[in-house]
Amino acid sequence: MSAQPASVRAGSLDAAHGLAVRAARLRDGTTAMAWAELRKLHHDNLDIFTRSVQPLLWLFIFGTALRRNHVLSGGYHDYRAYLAPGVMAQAAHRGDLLRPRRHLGA
Amino acid sequence: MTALAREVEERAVAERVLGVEDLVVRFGEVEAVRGISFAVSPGESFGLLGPNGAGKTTTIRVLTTLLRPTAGSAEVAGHDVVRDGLAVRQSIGYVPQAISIDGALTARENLEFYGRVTGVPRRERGERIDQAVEAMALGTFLDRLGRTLSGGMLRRLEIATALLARPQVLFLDEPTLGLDPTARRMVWDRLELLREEAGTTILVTTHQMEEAERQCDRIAIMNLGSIAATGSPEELREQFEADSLEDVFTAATGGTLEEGGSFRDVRATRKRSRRLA
Repeated sequence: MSAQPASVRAGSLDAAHGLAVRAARLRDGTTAMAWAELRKLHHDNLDIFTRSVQPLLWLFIFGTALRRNHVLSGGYHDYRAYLAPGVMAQAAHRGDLLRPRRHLGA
Repeated sequence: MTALAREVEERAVAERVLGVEDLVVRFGEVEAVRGISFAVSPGESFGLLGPNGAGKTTTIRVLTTLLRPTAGSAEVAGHDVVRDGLAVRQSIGYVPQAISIDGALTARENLEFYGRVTGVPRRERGERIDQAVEAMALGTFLDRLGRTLSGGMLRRLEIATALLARPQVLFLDEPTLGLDPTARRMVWDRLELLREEAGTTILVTTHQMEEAERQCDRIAIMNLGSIAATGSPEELREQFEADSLEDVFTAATGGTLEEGGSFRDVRATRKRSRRLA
């Protein structure tokens, strides 16, 4: 393995300030994150099930426990109607907030 | 400082791949780094030593562009860490104290992931991963999940991920923390080989005096945010008229070993050590 001399790297570094480069990095980063999540699902198939069901479980628990709390319900009669969109969004976002992190350094 | 030490320091400043001048970092009332200056030559292995809370990690965080300095300047690979942060990040590899490997991915997938996020071109990615695998001797556990790897394997894998972008400077924040002697030796052997073959400059923080003595060309001992002494291990021993680097460390830090490091630091360090053991 050999390190690149500074002169070789300089050209690419000048371009690195461009908006196009930043956009490409954003795209690559997002793709990489999605790829890593898919690989994790590949290693643990059961995860798909738990990621889907867990938010619904929280909807049931919180929804039932707090359904009569009008302060929290933001004008809705039933707290579950207020809670549901957020929980669905969370399910789509793989339920990260309520799951223990799998990352070793977390 | 001896004439030889001054000559080495002047050469480091002239040819530097990394230079820090009057660097100050404040967190509110607390001054974590108090106007330190040093330079590192290309291909050099430079050690930052000091008790907990001395400012070593804060300095590394500035040099890796994770933290903005309050005052002073720092350059890495010819780029200013504040004005040219992206260029600096493209020139360095960083292995932090905290474990940066994803336990739910295999070793190979972790390498692939880091290759993607650090912008390694797709056509070169496979070759660079192979080179990093060879450099850190990861061949036998490439298909194992990160959470099943031992501490030594994890550290080598982390260093391999940091090598994918072919860094000019590699920052290692306590790379052998929590590792057994065999794993430590393996990590250092691989880093030594990397220096010989690629000429990579290494800046390392460690609490292991014997490691610093054996592996570092030059050392800066930090204490309470300042640099208390700089030089090669031999020069420092001469300067402090000490038999070992441990004695130099105690003399340079004025025996303040018990003053640095918060409860939170100690708890985090112990937790990390347990995970790596």
